[in-house]
Amino acid sequence: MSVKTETDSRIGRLIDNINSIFVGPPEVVKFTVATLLSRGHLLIEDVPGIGKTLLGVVLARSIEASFHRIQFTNDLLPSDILGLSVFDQKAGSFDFKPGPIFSNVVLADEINRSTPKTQSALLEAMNDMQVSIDGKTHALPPLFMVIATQNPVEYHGTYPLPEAQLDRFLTRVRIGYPAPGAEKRILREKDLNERIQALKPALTVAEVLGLQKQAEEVRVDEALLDYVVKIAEATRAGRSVKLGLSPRGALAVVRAARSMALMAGREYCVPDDVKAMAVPVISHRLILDTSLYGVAKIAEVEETVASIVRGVPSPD
Amino acid sequence: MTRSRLTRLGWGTLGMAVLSMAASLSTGNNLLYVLFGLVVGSMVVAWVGGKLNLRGVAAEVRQPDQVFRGESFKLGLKVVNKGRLPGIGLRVRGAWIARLGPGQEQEARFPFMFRHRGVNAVEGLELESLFPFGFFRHSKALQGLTGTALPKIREVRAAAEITADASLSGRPRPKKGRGDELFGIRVYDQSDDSRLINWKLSAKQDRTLVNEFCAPGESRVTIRLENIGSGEAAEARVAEAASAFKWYVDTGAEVRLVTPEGAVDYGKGLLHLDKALRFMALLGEGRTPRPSRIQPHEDRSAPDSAALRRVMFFGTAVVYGSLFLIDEIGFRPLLALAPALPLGWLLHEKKLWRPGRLLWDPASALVLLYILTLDWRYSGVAVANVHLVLYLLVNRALNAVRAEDLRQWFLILFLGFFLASGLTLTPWYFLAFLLYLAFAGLWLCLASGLEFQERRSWFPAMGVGLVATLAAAGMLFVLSPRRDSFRHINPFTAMGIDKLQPKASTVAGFGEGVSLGWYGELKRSSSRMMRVRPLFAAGPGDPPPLYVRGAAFDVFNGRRWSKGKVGFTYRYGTSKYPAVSGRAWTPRHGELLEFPGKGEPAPQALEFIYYPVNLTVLFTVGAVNAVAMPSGAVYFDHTDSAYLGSPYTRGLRYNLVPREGPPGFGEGIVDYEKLLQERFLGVPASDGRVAALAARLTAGARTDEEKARLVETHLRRAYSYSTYSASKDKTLEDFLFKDRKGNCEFFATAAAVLLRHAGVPTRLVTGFLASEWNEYGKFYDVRQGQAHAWVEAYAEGRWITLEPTPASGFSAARDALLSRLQRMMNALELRWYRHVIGYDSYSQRDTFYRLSQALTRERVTGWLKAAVQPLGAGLFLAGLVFLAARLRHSFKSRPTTLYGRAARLLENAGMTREPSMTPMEHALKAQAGRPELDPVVELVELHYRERYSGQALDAGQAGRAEELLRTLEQVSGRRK
Repeated sequence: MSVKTETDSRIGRLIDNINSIFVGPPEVVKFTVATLLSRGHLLIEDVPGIGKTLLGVVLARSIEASFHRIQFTNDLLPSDILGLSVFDQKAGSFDFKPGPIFSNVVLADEINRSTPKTQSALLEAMNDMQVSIDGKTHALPPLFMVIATQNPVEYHGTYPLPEAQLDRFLTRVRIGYPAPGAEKRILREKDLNERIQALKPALTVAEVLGLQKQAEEVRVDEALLDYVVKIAEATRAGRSVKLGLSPRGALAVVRAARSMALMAGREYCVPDDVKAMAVPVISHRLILDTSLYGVAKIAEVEETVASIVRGVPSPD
Repeated sequence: MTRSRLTRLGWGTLGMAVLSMAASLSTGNNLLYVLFGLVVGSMVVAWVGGKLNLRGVAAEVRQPDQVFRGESFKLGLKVVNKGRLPGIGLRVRGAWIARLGPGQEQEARFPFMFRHRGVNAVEGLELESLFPFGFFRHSKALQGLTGTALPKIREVRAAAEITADASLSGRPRPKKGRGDELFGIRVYDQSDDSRLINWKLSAKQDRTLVNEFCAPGESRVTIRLENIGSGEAAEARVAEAASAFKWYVDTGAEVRLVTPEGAVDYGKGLLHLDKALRFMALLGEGRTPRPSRIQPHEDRSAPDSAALRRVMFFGTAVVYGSLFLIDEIGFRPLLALAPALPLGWLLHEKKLWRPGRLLWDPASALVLLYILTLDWRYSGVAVANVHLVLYLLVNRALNAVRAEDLRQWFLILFLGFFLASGLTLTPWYFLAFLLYLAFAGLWLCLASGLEFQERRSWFPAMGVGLVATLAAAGMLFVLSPRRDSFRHINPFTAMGIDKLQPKASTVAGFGEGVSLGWYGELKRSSSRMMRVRPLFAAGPGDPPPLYVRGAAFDVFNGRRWSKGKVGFTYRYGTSKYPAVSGRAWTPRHGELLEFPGKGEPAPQALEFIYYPVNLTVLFTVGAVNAVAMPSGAVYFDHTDSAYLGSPYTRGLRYNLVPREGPPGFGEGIVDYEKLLQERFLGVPASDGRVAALAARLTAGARTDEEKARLVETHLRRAYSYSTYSASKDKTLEDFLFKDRKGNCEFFATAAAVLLRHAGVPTRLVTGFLASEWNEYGKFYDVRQGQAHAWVEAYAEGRWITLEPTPASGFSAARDALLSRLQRMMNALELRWYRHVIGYDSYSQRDTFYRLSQALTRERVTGWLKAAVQPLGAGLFLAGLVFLAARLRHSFKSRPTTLYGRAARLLENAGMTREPSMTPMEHALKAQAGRPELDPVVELVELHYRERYSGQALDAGQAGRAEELLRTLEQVSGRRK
């Protein structure tokens, strides 16, 4: 019982904190926090100008974490992200100047706009949790989350992330245009920057790390594992799916479900957690069969995943 | 509707049925009737069972979401058993289902193509089964299967190819800025991205120019489909419209479809395309189901031949064993040939050596030649046939590999068993019959495609089929007509398989003499000899066994009893007559033929009815006064045996009038005492043992009668009765001093010889011990097997009857259990001979008569009255058991878990849960629909805690859960 009230309230405070400034669908904040607690990375695929950077900033401030924004352009180099060694004449040695990646929350804006070389630099660093430059390895901070954004694929001049790289992101969300009432609220509010500066943190980095550890210990029953496996099998068997969910993807679903459970204040997972996280975790890992219908749009992928999940019987 | 067609095997079996019917009708051999019953019974069971097998099995079509006309795809067929009986050995296009239990379902897939757009009725699918025995191919046409095909779409490469009526509304306005297409060149502006600068042109024109790109704008397209019509032209129009629709959807436009039957409004994307295609599928003729026929497919999968071969060897062993039951075939040659079986097995299984055709063909020719020319003459037709079958068996055992060979082999086994049935009588046949039934059932099931590995699924059903066959065979056996008149000329009698004929040789014992050891054979015959009907009212209960006297013998040479032709003089009244050739003819007064003797006629007359036998003996009971016969002449001889002048080959009927007085005709013979001394005291030469025994046994006896009784008692007590004498070479000394057991002739001979040694005139009497009393006809049924031998001793002036043979259970054996077992076996054997082997037309009439008697009104009401109490108790108990079972079932199916009960309550309240809904989603939906179901949300939370947290609910939480359930019960209006 005590876990429930404590964790619940702490995470609740975090969510409220974010929601006080960021105006968007509530699931987006929930999925973001769930990704944070799962030690995962978030991919936001959406049009510009709907608050992706704002989300990152507010999140970082709410957990008293360092934040850095990297704007990806065609000519961005890996060293621009990771950092480089500069020769110090006085000391006579190379000095490592860390790049923007050495922060707790990194916003990689328009990641599909840079060259594959740069993309892989970021992704490898995400994977290894360390950076090797000139023979020396520098570890990334223990609390490390990348929020990457991508423009939807139709636009010219982009290098879309291939499937294997997309897999590294735990969840993919879409923010979408705000509802009319919400948009009006955005327009009404004044002094955004001041409000961001005035925002008080809800949790510390240490507390977040603690919560991440708690999330790992959430109990997942055998029946739920079966459920996840059945969903994975269903994605592979679907007629319109060319590439289904991989075991890494299934693992991701379980991780995300654990965080969901923690956010609801439970120490155990229930089927609803799995079902809630299924679509955001799975939809960017699938490749649909486009032979008949042409290229599939994102909304269709999500709809397909949702219908697949609807076809799998849930455990009691 | 289930259609049943005979398979090739079925036709063959029908042939076998005809063969066995012909054989059994013409020979009257009851074991052939048994075989006939088996064959026909199995066909009936195959027919009925097959129909029941397919009953209740239905199918549904499962097709993928999008199937286009003319596109080949895998059609799923879900086969479901809606009945209460399992379906075994089902075959449907491309799928084999070994067992489909009640309520089970299984899916079969096979390639298919819808021929028409829209609703297609899938035709030509049939569910087939060969179960149970493969005699019939039962097939059931599957109906009501429909699927939907979308119109065929043609790949369109450019807008110009579209022939459908598509009109664009509004001009597509390109969106400048980002995009693929080059819109144009314009002058550089501050805000432009420097990457857009067209350097070449700028250099040429000496001012900065940039490329402007644009994306194609969204347009709205309306596709019109007028006047759909019918036939191929209509299909072409719809297909064109569908192709156009897809083309425009792919370009990103908003597309709309307008038809005379309705419209699909504007929309974009794949889902919209799907919707439109489904709409187009059902236009015009697409709504009504049009047939799509599946290709007829010859599904001939090979049966499990390894298992078949193994079972075949088992069957061969059974049939081979049954050949041992035939008397005429020597025991030793059969045993010598036996290793061929295991040899064949080994050769087959280990694939060591297969003798080639060059070896077999000449061998077969030789054997056939031998059988047709020599063997037939030496051993008789029956045995020659058996030899032939034996050879064929060995041939097959060493050779058969392919499926056709196996079928041939099966046929030969049947023929072998057929021969065995015709040539044997022993009760061991029943065991062989059961084994053969099991073998045949197993083989037939395997041959019809069932797998041995899956035997668990179909063995029970096969067992039921075999039991049903057994029952059907039994009924057919009892009901098949028995005719006595077909026996004379037919190939089966020529073959010698008519074991039942009372051949003259088997009853020669009543003729000239009887040898020791001969009785054994006779005992096994169950042919009827005669009926003896008392013409007076019998007392209550069954009357005791009757000694029916045939012929007596006076001369014993140590091995054989015989009768001398003794001349004597006999008198009737005051006249004396000589007995020419030892025959004293009785005078006839009207119907009566009188016999000499003291005493008046007694009222208890007996009627004798003989079956046709080639004998002249006149059978009597006790002391005879006269015999009433309309015609014919009778004589008696010095042994008090009576004979007819000529054999009664057409049967005989007469009444016997008994006399109150001692038996025997000595009163009418002159110098009878002298005759007695001369004829009835002779003993064969032997070592002194017999004489010594006689002296010892009769020491201390004062009268002859005492002596007789002493000997009789001694034999009864100290010696055991055994049904068969081991060999015909056993002597009296063997019996008395070595084996101490034998059949009735030995006992009677021993008594006679011992008493003769002791000076008492004694003679051997042969006849029948009538023990089978028919309570409906009120007569004794006398059969050959009841032939018996006993002794008459002349003591104190009269003949007394002695029975030295112990009752068959009374033996000197110390092991009481063994003797009881023996008695049981004897009784069973008797029943076999009487009820199965001897079931002739008289028995049949008797059975029907008995049935009709039994079913008379009084009896039936009597039974009913007697049955009411136990029946009532039985019904009551049955009702209790049934109720308990139902309660238990509902009790068991009542959910006990927290969520189970909650879900059941929600269901009762009308809120059903779809399988993919989680319990919480279901609870929230229920709450949204009926707010009073609110407690279910908290209940689900508690359930989650119980189910997923790994810890049980504590007392407080459990209590709360119960509280919530109770509230929910009240609110949801709980129904049972």
